[in-house]
Amino acid sequence: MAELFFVTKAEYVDRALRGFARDQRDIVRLHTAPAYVRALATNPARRVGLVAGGGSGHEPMHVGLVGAGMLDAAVPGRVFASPHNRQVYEASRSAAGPEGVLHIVKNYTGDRINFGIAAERLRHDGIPVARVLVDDDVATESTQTATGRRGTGATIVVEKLLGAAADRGTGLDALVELGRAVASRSRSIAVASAAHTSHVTGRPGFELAPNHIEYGVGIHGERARQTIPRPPLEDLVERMVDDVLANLPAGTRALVLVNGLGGTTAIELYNVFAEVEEALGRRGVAVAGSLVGTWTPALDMKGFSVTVTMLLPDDGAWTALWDAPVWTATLRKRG
Amino acid sequence: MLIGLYLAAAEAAHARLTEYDQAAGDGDFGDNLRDGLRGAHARIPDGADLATETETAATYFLDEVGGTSGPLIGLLLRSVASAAAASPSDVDAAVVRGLTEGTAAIQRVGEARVGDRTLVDCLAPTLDGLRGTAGPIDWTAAATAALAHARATADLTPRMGRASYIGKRALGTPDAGAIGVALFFWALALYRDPASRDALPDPAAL
Repeated sequence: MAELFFVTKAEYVDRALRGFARDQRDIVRLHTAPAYVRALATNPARRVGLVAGGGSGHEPMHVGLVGAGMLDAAVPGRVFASPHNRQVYEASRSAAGPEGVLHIVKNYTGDRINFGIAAERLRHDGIPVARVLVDDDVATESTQTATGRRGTGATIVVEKLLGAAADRGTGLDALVELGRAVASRSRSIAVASAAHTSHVTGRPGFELAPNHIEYGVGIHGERARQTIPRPPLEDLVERMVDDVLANLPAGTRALVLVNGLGGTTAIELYNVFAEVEEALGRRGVAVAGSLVGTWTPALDMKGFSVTVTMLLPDDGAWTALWDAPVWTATLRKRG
Repeated sequence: MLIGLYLAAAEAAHARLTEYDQAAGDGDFGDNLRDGLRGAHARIPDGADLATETETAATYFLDEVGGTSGPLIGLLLRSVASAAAASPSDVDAAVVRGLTEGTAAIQRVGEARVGDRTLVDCLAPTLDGLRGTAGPIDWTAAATAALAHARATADLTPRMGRASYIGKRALGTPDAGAIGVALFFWALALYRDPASRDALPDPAAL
């Protein structure tokens, strides 16, 4: 049984938060009861605070993205579970700017409801609040349920662009408009060759036959709708890029995120990115900006996702926002 | 006083709420409602008016009660508290306005519509009936209607909420959340007219 390296007591998420906040004490501070991570410094040009959150097990998302140029606060739930509304509410009160607070929410029922309850409470207090919902996973495009596409890796892109825009003093309505535009032009697909280790049982979350992959896997251990024989990486990336582009407007320049699901090495992810860039190039799409690494894992799942954000024909200043300075625990660019 | 009556109803109905939520849900709603009301009731200062006691209970449900329905009931109580604070002299109108605004907040957050088999299927039709009446409100009739609407969720195939993942297998069991908010109308009837107890259904037998 390959158990995760967690403390034996039930509070392993709290221990991880404590360790994270101590390690990154020049960038963040940890608030407890309720738990949230807050940036130490706030850009005085910001008129709106940015708050994101969701289940744990996806680190560095979101706590590793708190800091200058990105999030003002992040709200972690238990592993793969939504945070409580009180965490969102108090983090938002702490992070709100003079024009209020913007919630960046991945599309999952629990996150929608708990951020929604917090938003009602903030409005009751007279704090303006709005939401950008990220729903990029094309594997969940046509399910019969009304829940829509899941939110996954594109959240990183949305948070980066909104963070840079917020630093320019952009107001709440304009941030919402930008965030929705970026989310609507971002799509992802994920594959896995082995399940994550369940934090509950210490065993693989699901069994996969040798030389098969889950095509369209989720980030909470949800199996894909398809298990397929494993193709060579070149062919796999071709298929993934086709599926992502089929769900995006046409364009010639894009931002690309190649994301490890937790059990995938850097040398593998760079193999993937090299293939993705060439596959996009053959389809007339140039990579205007990229991020390669483990940004939105599902604990230690062996797999990766590809996210493409198709830029507007006139760019809409999105590449400048992408290149703008940022200084968080895990994403750092100097101006 | 109102929250104390709601607690009494939740204590009496605890076994049934648990049974219904085990059949179509995750089984913790009876505990969440009862324990939430116990915790809220213990925090209400002596002699508190309606606005204060509902505000205290709202904050407790929003901050401390688990599950999804608990904090949603917190939103409902918060709206009643705000309306009661705004017009303390006209309790009936304030409570109806508060419940109406609270139901709207619950629907904004939970995105459930009438017929999806959630607590909205008790709140919305009961409030529709109240808005149609002129003059003083007959809370006994409102409580009876609320309980009937809640029981009628047994005939609805779930599209949202606690039972949505078991689909038609939920048929025949009322929605625990709908029963839970119907008990608030039961408490309101006793709060507004203590003599109505004999005219109300027994909450233990819902």
